[in-house]
Amino acid sequence: MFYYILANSSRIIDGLVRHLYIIAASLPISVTIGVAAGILISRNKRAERIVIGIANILMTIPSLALFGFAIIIMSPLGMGIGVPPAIFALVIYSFLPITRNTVLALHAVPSSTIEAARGMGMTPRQILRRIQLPLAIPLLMAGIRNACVMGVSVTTIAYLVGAGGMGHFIFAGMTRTRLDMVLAGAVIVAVLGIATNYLLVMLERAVTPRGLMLEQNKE
Amino acid sequence: MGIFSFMIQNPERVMEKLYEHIIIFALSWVTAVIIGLAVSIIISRPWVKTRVSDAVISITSASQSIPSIAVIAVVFLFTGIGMLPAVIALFLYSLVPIIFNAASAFRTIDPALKEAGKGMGMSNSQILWKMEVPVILPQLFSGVRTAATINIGTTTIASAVGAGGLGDLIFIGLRFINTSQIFAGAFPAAVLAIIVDVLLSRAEKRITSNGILMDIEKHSQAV
Amino acid sequence: MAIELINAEKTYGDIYAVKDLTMTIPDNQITILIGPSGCGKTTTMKMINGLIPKTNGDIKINGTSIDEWNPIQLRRNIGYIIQEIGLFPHYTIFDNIATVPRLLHWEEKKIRQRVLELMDLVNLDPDEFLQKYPSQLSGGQRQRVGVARGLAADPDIVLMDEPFGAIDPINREKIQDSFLEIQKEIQKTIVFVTHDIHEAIKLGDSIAILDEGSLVQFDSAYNVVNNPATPLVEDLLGSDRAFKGLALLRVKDHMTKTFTTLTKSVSPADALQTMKQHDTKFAFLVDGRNNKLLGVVTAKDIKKRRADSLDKLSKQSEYIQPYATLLESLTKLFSSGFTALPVIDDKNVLVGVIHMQTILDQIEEMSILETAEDEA
Ligand SMILES: Nc1ncnc2c1ncn2[C@@H]1O[C@H](COP(=O)(O)OP(=O)(O)OP(=O)(O)O)[C@@H](O)[C@H]1O
Ligand SMILES: [Mg+2]
Repeated sequence: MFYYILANSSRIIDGLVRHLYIIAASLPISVTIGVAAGILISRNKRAERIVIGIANILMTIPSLALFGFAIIIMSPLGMGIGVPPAIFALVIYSFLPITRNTVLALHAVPSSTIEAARGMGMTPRQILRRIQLPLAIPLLMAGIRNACVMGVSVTTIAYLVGAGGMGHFIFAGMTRTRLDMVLAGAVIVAVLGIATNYLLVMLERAVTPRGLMLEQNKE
Repeated sequence: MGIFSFMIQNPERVMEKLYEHIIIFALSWVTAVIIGLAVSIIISRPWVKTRVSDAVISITSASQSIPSIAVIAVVFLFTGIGMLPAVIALFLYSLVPIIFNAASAFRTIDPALKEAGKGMGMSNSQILWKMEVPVILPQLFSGVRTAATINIGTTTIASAVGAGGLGDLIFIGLRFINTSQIFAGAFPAAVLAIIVDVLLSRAEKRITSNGILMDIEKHSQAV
Repeated sequence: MAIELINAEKTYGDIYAVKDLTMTIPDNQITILIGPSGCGKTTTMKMINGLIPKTNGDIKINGTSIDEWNPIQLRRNIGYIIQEIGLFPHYTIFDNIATVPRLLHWEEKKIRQRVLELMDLVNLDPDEFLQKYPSQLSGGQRQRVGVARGLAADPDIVLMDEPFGAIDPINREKIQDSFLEIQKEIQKTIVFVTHDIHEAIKLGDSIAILDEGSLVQFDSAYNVVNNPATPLVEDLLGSDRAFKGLALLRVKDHMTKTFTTLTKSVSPADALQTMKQHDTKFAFLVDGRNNKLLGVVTAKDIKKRRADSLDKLSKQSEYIQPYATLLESLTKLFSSGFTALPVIDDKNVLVGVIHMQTILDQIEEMSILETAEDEA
């Protein structure tokens, strides 16, 4: 395996770059849509129930199937194969859990805290920006982290729709029974997943307000 | 209508693939539930060093971010193609959330509860089955449900190692860009995942004591 | 700023949380709302600052109906201390207290000064607490921060929903005393909810008793104690009404200003002489420069222990503050075993002495009043 990695380092780096590119291109989109949608629907009980219901259902769709749907939808636009359907599928797959977490995070703010803010004469906007969003950070970041980790996994499968990435080494390796190639792909993807998770946990800690961290540690 | 055409024209084939899918899922998931619970119980006994359970919890926690395809690929290296590598890989992959949730939950049990049990003259195994397990049921179920959903989804990918199942339809559909065939694989897989999840949530409500459910509800309102 | 409630009502479905409530809350005074749990105290408060929209009737602040006030402006002008405290967990104690002044765009320097003032008021050490977060404080400390936060922008009206409920009895009495002392200076219009009849009698200029959303009695604290309007009010007051009456009387109005003080430089023998001249068995040891209380010296100790300085002979003494009630003094006297207590202000300066006999005389007077009433 090490031999394979050394001998093919430039191809592996290309694959990694492509892999990360797909994640990096879709994530800002899904975070923006996800958080915005979460804030919007958190104000309406019915919209919330519907969207979260849909999110829960969409999350059960196998990622492989989602790529299939992405191809179907994107084909008429002439973007049926390669990176665009991969990004499309990834956005769909990750923005709903982010939305769901945003809603949950906003609701997790104790009603007494909001009441105090209202009682002091904060406008709804001020309450959102100064109180609700900062307090929502841990759950929000957890949602984003899950979306990223899932992104690493889903992007591996995006190879099957011609998007390239690290999936190439696993899938092509299997068909060619190149075992060292499969192993190299699998190990790198596994490390990538764990590293992504770890880095985002660190980021989460860095952006969580100190007072909240103390509160969580206490529990 | 067009999207259903493959299903309508090839009902036996869809049924056959669905059947394979359920077999792979059931075999790997049921063993994972049993072994996962057993492992969690063992590492949470007082005679097992905390270092061991610490290690198991950190390993399972980290493993949750490993893409499923990587696990399938590694198992494939040892066993070659067929249903067996799929079942083994899915078993391993389902084990992770089950152990992680159950083992972490055992840890958070209030020691006073066990003390109270001992004080009343309960044996160790009575304390385990009458007190500890009922208390961790919600987390146990959460792990078991996550495992089921992931498992059913990942089974579609397992057809890459020749395991069969609904993934076959999707793979072939993708190759020929045949919409209705992709759908014939994706739709039953999604429905299966939803049905299993609903059934498990019903079972959870039935098995879990009302006191614990109310506790959770109260807590979720409080936060 | 006056608050007028005119037939104000709040219904949830066909349940009345507050029913036909008419009362004028006097300016610059403390008005207590008291009653059983669920009687509508919190609802009344929240209708006043518009957090709960009233169903019927009207509420006027400064003559203007709250319907015509901009709710945001209204709330910035009314301090509100909520029952659940509701501190912002991601803000430091400083930032929590500074919330409303910042909403009002005060200068940072003025805010800082104000926060320090308030920390002093609620008896928390600024150096220790200002940079901490709410989760690092005890329940009682958090509640005191909540009070400081409600008063921060110097509002004319302050709504306080059980602000001292989570504070331990000793600190609660202290904070009540300082609160009264401050109120004397700042003269806010305060609506104060409590469950505790002692607190109500001690703090309230007037007391409103609510039951199932309706007003049962609204009168001065003195009249409520002496003429409970209904059996519910009597129950609330309990059987020891005469003792409760003591809670209406403040130490500062009943203490004597004649007492014997000694300084450290006085020799024990001279001290004994002085006590004999003043016909007393004890004297207070004070700092000669500023009259701060250092301890108490008894004739008995001087005779028995033969030490060479008063410093070694003096004992720590229980004390009481001018705004405390006679009821509190009585409790302290019983627990200390003395027949008199030094009265000291918040700078520890000895300002008077309250004698057991004075309190006993008051009880007698009130019991007479009560029996006379019963006979009439
Ligand atoms: N949102 C609501 N929906 C229905 N009923 C409510 C609602 N809010 C309050 N109530 C009812 O209105 C009544 C008055 O409630 P309120 O909170 O004012 O009581 P309270 O006097 O402050 O009680 P406590 O001393 O327990 O704080 C209660 O019977 C309560 O159940
Ligand atoms: Mg209340």
